[in-house]
Amino acid sequence: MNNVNLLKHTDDVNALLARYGVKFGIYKNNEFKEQLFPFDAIPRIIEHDEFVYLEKGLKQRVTALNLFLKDIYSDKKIVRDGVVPEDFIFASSGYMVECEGVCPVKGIYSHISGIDLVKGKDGQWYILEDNLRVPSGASYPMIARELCRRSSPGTFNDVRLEDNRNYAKLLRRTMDNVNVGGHTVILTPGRYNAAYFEHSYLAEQTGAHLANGSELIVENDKLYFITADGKHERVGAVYRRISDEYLDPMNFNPESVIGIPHIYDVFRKGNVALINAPGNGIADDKGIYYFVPKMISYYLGEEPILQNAPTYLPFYEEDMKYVLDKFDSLVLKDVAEAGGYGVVFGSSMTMEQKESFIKLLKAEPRRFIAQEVIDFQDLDILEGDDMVPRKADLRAFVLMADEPLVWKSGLTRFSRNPDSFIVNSSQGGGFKDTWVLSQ
Amino acid sequence: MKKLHFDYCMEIRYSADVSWCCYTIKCIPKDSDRQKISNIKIDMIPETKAEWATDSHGNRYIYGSNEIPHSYFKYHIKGDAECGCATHESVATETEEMIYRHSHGITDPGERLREYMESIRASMPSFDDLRSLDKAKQIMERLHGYLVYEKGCTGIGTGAEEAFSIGRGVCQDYSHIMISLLNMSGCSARYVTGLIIGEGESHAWVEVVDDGKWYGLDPTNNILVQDSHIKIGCGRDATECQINRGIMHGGGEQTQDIYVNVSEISPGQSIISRGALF
Repeated sequence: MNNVNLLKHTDDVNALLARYGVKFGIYKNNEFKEQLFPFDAIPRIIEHDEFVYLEKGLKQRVTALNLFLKDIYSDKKIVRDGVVPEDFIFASSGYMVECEGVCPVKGIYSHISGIDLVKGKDGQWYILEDNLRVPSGASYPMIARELCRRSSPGTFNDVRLEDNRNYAKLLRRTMDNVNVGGHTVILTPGRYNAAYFEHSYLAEQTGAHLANGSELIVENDKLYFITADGKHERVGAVYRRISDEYLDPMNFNPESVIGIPHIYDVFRKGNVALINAPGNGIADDKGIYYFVPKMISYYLGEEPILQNAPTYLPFYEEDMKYVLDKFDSLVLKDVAEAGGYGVVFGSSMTMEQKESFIKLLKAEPRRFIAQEVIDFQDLDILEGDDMVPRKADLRAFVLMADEPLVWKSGLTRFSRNPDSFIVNSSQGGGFKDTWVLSQ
Repeated sequence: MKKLHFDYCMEIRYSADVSWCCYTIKCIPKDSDRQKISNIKIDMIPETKAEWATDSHGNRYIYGSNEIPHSYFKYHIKGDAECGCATHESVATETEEMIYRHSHGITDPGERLREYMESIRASMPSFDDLRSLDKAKQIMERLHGYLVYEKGCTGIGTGAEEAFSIGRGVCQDYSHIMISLLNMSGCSARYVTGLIIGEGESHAWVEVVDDGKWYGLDPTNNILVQDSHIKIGCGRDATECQINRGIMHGGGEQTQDIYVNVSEISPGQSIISRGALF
């Protein structure tokens, strides 16, 4: 493969990414800092057959997660049948009572799911976590592919590669599928959001309106877009890049100034589609993760194709015993935290830290999960002229339109710190394009 | 059983014009096994087109927005209620039992409430064997004796643990604390907004599930909810059934006045002639 030529262009591609505003905004010590999202030109390559397997597993998982959400906010059969304990639903911060009895258009909750996977040294893929609220990241490999093609066209001549620039088409199909009549809008909190580049890029690529909260208004139980000349035009679907909490100050956090008052009242009546639906936090909770394989069997009557990392719930006495026994070999995660925060390795704690952590664990067992540390495969990245191995994961994007669609690419994130397992962009990692071979 | 006439009137006066506002008002009592509502009349100033809806707790509400500049806002609802038609409020669904069995946020217990719960259990070894309604009566009785009714010590966002630590509060705090204790006892319990016979303000109490039915208990007054209470709405806590919520642009300083009157209709008095007073 003619990678060598592409690698020579690493700096050009990064310069272009900077020019396009491919940045990540991070709030640290109350200060907003934008930093570039470093691109590594060595792609992650996934063989055709391997991706066929992933695709099947991802469709299965996201289908089950959608059924779970629908069930939780209506009949709650999975709880009644004792598969998931009540405590993990109704006492969870991800559960939104406001969603009880409200059915989104066509019963779809997670239209866009970002599923994080890693490949172990044993060659086995493991699911690390599901992101069903507002998963971001698809735009980065999209634009990176575009820019790589531009800087090194020869590289792509003899590779049988799935084109990943069709993400916009898949997204449009997903949004159109639930649009109840009117414009499709991408709702952004604005330019100071970490993913603003992505919002504007996806709007441009899908042909949707890019709007902030003040450009949308509720009237007569419907949602309208205020055009430049002041007309109010009906909106049928909103791909909102605002978290549930800030979406509607009249129904959720009253302090929100980026939301739209009463948009949830309109949604409740089925007069607008919200993408993703509010309330999804109950399904991508780290505590619920443990139950996803059980969900697949429960709703689909199938064996899960993709495996979870081996996970223990200290909530169960048996698991608690195991966790205390094997403490040093496990990674512990606070279910309420995201973005790589609230993750601690048993082995890296001092005796004192360990003692106080175990005390907390015993007091609030529901709050934590424990996992075996997966020894995942390193990927090479370019540091100067040297290739060095780094930890990397893969965020696969699964879209739920009239059928589940898996984007034949994904965001590969790597840790730039050789000793770190945490690849989140908010923690300063970089990214790669993900090449899925077409044969 | 009592026949009651009720009046709830909220007025907000602004020192400057409000150029835009939106509001959600959850203040429309509805029929249950215990109460039958009739002759409802709603007045709003300024008059706007309001939408009707029902939230996830089953509360009916109206919402809308208003672009006409105004410095006065009024919501006035009146009607009649026949109360005490049954001892329970309504039938509890299995879903409701699940949703309201777990405390969260405002009703989450802290160390003090956990200790208090333990002390209740210690003083009454048979507590855990009681049926829910009897647990609720025990808790209500003790809580009523423990907490001092006093306005101004707590606010809208005060949690159960905090109010309990302060040791003083109003109907909202009595209710939040009681819900927290009931949830710790394994009971499904929820917060209720409503009106009580007499003149004054809106009121709050608690409902608990016993044998598949919701029963009302009023911990502020240490009484069961029978024929002197008119239920308006419910939720897991006060924020979920807040009577009035709004956002406005402009308006300057605002003062809110709430007037509530619930009185018994004497047998000879016709409902119609009372209505004519307005």
